[in-house]
Amino acid sequence: MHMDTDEDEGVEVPMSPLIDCVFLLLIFFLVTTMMKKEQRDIDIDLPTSISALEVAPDDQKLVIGIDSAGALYVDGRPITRDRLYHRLADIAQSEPDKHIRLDCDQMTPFAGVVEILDLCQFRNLRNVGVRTYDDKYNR
Amino acid sequence: MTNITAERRRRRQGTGRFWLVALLLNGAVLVPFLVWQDLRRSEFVITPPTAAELAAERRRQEELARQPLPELRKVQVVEAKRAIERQKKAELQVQVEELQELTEVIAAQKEEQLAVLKARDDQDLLTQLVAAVQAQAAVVAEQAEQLANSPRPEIDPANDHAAQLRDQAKRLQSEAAGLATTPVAAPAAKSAAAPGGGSEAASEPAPEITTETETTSPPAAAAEAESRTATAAVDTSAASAPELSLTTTLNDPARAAKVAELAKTVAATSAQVAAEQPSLQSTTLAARAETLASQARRLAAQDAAAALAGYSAEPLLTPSDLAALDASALFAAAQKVAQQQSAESADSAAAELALTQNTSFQQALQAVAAPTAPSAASTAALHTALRQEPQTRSELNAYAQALDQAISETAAAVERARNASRSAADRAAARQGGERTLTLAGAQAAVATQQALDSASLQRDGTRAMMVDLSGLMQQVYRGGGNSSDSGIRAGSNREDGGVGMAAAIPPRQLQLDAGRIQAQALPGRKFSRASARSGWLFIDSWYVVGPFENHGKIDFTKRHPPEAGIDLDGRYLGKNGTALTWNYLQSNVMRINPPGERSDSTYYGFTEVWFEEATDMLLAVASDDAAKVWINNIVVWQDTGLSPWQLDEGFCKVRFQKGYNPILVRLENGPGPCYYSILLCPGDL
Repeated sequence: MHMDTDEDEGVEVPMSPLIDCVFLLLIFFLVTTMMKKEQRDIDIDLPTSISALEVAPDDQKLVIGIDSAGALYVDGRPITRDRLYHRLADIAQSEPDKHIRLDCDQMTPFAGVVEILDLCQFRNLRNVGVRTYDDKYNR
Repeated sequence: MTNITAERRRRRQGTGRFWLVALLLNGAVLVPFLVWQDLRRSEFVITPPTAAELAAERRRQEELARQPLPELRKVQVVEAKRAIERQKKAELQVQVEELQELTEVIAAQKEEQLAVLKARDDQDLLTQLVAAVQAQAAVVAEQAEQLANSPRPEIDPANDHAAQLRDQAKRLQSEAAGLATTPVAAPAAKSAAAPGGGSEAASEPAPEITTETETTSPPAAAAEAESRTATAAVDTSAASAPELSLTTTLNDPARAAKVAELAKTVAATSAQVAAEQPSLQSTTLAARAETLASQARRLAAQDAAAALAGYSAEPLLTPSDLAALDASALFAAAQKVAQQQSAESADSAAAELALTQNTSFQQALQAVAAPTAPSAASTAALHTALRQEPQTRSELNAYAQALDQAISETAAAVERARNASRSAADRAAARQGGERTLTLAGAQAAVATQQALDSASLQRDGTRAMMVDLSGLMQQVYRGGGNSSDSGIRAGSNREDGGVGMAAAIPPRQLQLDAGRIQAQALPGRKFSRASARSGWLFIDSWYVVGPFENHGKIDFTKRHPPEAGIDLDGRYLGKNGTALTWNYLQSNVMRINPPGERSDSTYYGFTEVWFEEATDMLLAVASDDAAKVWINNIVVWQDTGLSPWQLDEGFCKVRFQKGYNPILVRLENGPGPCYYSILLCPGDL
């Protein structure tokens, strides 16, 4: 009896699992790419707030940080007071509506926070927010 | 058989459909899940959790944090350390390279400033030396003339020492006069004018002074020995007379030394004349000693400046050199470059201060604070942490933290270097811009401003201040382009220039205010526009304040401190009793500003800016305890002297602000007791 085994028993690559794997890989890369953002945070303990509003992520915003010793940072890098003074003046001219986020430590001297807020207000930079910590968003 | 094959094909198709459906189902579940997650993250309003939930979550996290992590194997620690070091070292290397470049820039700026400073010192030195030589030569010539004319029958007329001294003194006088008439600040013109009277006289062969005088006494013998030296020196100076005519560059220390040599020759001749006729010694020798002492001081200062100018920086490390270093060595290199940069910045600031204050480099260097450097203990601890080979997880964490700290410190040094470089460039541009754009009208207006202030101060009638209208003068300064110059306008505020009579055209008038009502109603403000709801008197409440500087209990506005050379909010200065001073931000809810940490017999500075929508004339009320000086846009608008308590109506002037930001600098002089100042602004006239 003739058995037709040549075409029935041939080894074939199972396409469906392969496509599945490719799909999962695609999702993996998409997610990791979205998560890879510029590190602009500094090592501080943010003050806790339970009433703060969450805002949409904005990579274009300027992040001004003040650590517990009062040292200043912009976008995660140290900056001097004079340099920040002039940089805010430049921003006020070029991008008056720029979103500014202020990251302060719980132990940051309040005078330092007032100084930056006053400087922003004087330079007519009004889109300023203060970052706080909320456990709800970190669960 | 055909049926079997078809059946198998159907089964395969069924399997393919199954996987396809599975894939679609998978995607159908996964995609909405991810979208939901994303929407959840972007939700704008979230119901806040309860306090109990927060406390429970915090406890849970604290519990998790207390649980010890599993210990890593040694191989894992080594690998992790390598990975961390590779990543952080690259970052550190980039910072060190940038720091080196900035240090080079700052060093170049410093060299440029020192060159300008040295040229100024050279000019001062030469002017002083030439004047001294001329004066001394005149005295010597006069004395030698008297000596030659005195009857001395015992001396052979053909070998008369006195006559030769007279000739020599006259020649020296002629040479000194030639030096004095040679322009100092125009080297190109000097070479043409070099063979002038003085040079011609000096180029003549000096008469040989014979030493066989019959009237040799012990002092006279010493004078004869000096005479030989003097003759040789005169010959030398005569041979090199064309060089003494200042044809060389101003930065040539040898030329100044030759001028000093000439002065020494004159002095030696003077001593010789005095020895010949002791009765003429008194004033001449005193003048000579003073001249020589002054000359020695100036030369010493010049040598110090020259030594600093010749200071060479450490050679830079190439990127390949830096890449070969480990993290600890790289951080050590960064520290070394940072220290070098700090020293260069301090020198640069001191040179600029010396230029603006017209003081010596050494004095300015004392006024500039020592370069800031991290404490040796913390640096040593950091180096130790970077050198260790971590064996455990905790050691690995400590190593990573040390690397982060090293990067942070280096980044701060880079930022300081950037700031110092920018500040030096700004100051140099302001100085050069001022030199270039300061017009006569601007300078005259600035001088007139000062005169008007003085006039108002003099006419104060004890209880009521005089109001001075400076708006027109300030507008004239703005148009004159002098407002871009710190040194120009501030230097122009002395009363030695033109502009006489301009202040007289604007007579001060008496002003009477209800101080109590103003104090009750004044509001804080720094921004002024037509649409502003605030009206009436506004006080400036936000300041950057620095002090105390030493004033030794004396109000002396001619002694200037670094903030007057330029505002650098990162600047560190040496203050009273050697304390390091930095700018402090101060916001007051009352109009009276009290500098933090006030001290008696001290000087403070306050800096702020005000913003105007358009150019506006404002009434300015200045009150201070004790004395104050105020600059607006680098123009002196107020200055009072004397110890006086704070009074709201102490002084008024009408000033003009430009459109945009207007810097205000206040110098507050405090005698004994507390110190306060206030600046109030009111639109319009009263």
